[in-house]
Amino acid sequence: MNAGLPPHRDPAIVSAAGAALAGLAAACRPLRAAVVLTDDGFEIARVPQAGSGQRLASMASALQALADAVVRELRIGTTDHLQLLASEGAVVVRRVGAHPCALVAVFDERPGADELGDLEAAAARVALAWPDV
Amino acid sequence: MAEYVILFAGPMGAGKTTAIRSLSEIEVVSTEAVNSDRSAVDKPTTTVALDYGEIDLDPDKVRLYGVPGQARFDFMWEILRERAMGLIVLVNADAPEPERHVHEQLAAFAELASRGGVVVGVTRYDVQRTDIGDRIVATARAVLPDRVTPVFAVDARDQEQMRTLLLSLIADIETRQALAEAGA
Ligand SMILES: Nc1nc2c(ncn2[C@@H]2O[C@H](COP(=O)(O)OP(=O)(O)OP(=O)(O)O)[C@@H](O)[C@H]2O)c(=O)[nH]1
Ligand SMILES: [Mg+2]
Repeated sequence: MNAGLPPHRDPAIVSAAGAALAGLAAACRPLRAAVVLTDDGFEIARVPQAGSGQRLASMASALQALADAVVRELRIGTTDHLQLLASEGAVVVRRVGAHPCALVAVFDERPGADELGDLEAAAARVALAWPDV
Repeated sequence: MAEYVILFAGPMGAGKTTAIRSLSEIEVVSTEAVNSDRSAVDKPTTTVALDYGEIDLDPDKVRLYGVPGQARFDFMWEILRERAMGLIVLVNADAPEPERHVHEQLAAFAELASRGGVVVGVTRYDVQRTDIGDRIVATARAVLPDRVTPVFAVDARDQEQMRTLLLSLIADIETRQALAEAGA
């Protein structure tokens, strides 16, 4: 573990997140793109490699924080994940364990139980790589 | 009774979240996340979506929105500035080149500044005393040459000081509305 390095610049975290996303992309057909991000919206890793995941990372960070604010306001426990269903796709944001880190996935169609399970597994893989502080 | 929608803008660590917490009479809606990069600004959390608070300034109701200071959240600036009628730009005196931040923020929110009220608050003067006041006044005049932009030194943690800043913004909004009506 690299104490003091921000997660998005920690090579161990970046490579574990990249591997988890590659596994997710291979398992999950309708996945269009996915990014592992810090809670404050820095991109840690993305699939596909082309382009940038920074914009999606920032927006996922904001979405997650707004969802958390609603959950807090209504006193309904803690956020598990959030799903945004659009006419031609869907977005899922899920926290990575109890770490200040999240996973956002963009799908071409509404994700079913299989896809949500794949996401959970990918998040668990990233969580394993997270240093215990 | 009027209703005002006010936006707090400014760089990371300027005190936008702190200011809204000082002013709000309701429990503030906040979207703080762990700050991953303490080398940029050394504080535990940072705003990633918005802050929201409310205050009654009898007879008026004021809605207070804070934006994230970090530019990767600029999509939130676009969403929030649409509804705003007034702008409070906060800049911390201990930032490198505070006047550059004032320039960037006034430029980013120039459309709001041209139709609504604007004030600038310089925070953290006690942390770093500077002669920055004149330079900030000159910068604001350069970006917004057609209006007078008040500049205050404030402590974002201090409710009284923040109220004074807010009241001066509301006076600015009202003055401009009255001028617009008189001119129409
Ligand atoms: N000493 C001192 N501290 C201040 C003053 N004004 C604000 N602060 C402190 O400066 C910090 C400002 O942090 P925030 O309120 O989170 O800043 P922000 O503008 O919301 O930052 P982001 O959301 O990250 O963009 C807090 O720790 C405040 O207590 C001041 O006048 N003097
Ligand atoms: Mg803030």
